[in-house]
Amino acid sequence: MNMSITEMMNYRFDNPEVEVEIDTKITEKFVERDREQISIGDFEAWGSVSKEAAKIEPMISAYKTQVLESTINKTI
Amino acid sequence: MIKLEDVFRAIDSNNNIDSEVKENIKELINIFNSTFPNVDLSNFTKRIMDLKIEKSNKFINKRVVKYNFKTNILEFNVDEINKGYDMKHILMHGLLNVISSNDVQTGFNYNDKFKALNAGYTEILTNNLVGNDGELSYLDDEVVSTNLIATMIGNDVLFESYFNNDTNKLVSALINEGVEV
Repeated sequence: MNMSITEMMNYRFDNPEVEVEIDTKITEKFVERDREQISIGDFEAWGSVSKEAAKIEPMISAYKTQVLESTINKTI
Repeated sequence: MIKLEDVFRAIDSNNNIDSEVKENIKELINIFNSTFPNVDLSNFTKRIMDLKIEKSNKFINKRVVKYNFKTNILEFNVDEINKGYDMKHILMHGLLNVISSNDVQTGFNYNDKFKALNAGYTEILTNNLVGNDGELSYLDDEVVSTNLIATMIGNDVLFESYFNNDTNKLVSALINEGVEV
């Protein structure tokens, strides 16, 4: 499905019976950048109640590990 | 900024709406104004004077509630609502669409480009304002996706874009975060 995230949201809105992976795509964008801890916490909380949580949660866990490693490397 | 008493006067002036519904609307507008006192109700005041409230069914409109800013008609799908939705919640959702409409668009939804995101944000505001006492929740998927996006671009961007009908502000923020539009 070659649509933007907002186009996919519109498609799902009009066709709720069709499963569309939107939250996973949003997560891909989220983990591309440095984020503040509070944003990571908020994103994780909302990701956990998404229908796509099974895909999102490992992505956020990996991102948090990466952030932690980066912090440790900066400290050493 | 328009005064609440003027808003209530405008509600009362609408002969298309029965008195019980008018009182419900006033109650919800009071809640809205108490929560968001800096949001201007001028557009709402203009629209409420000749707003039409209509009942529809699943054959006409599959949405639980739908507002058309061009015709100024607020539709409620009775078939859907009777499944277990909280009517106060649904009415608040509808009124938010009226509050956030100008002559061009509703909220930040220009030309239906952001209809789902706008609906999701409307529902987030509705939950914030009146909660949900119904058996059914509304637009769950849109609420989740909109909240995920809000953590990236900031809730303040969504809020200002929505109530100022500023789609450009929203688009800039989304593009800045790499979210395709």
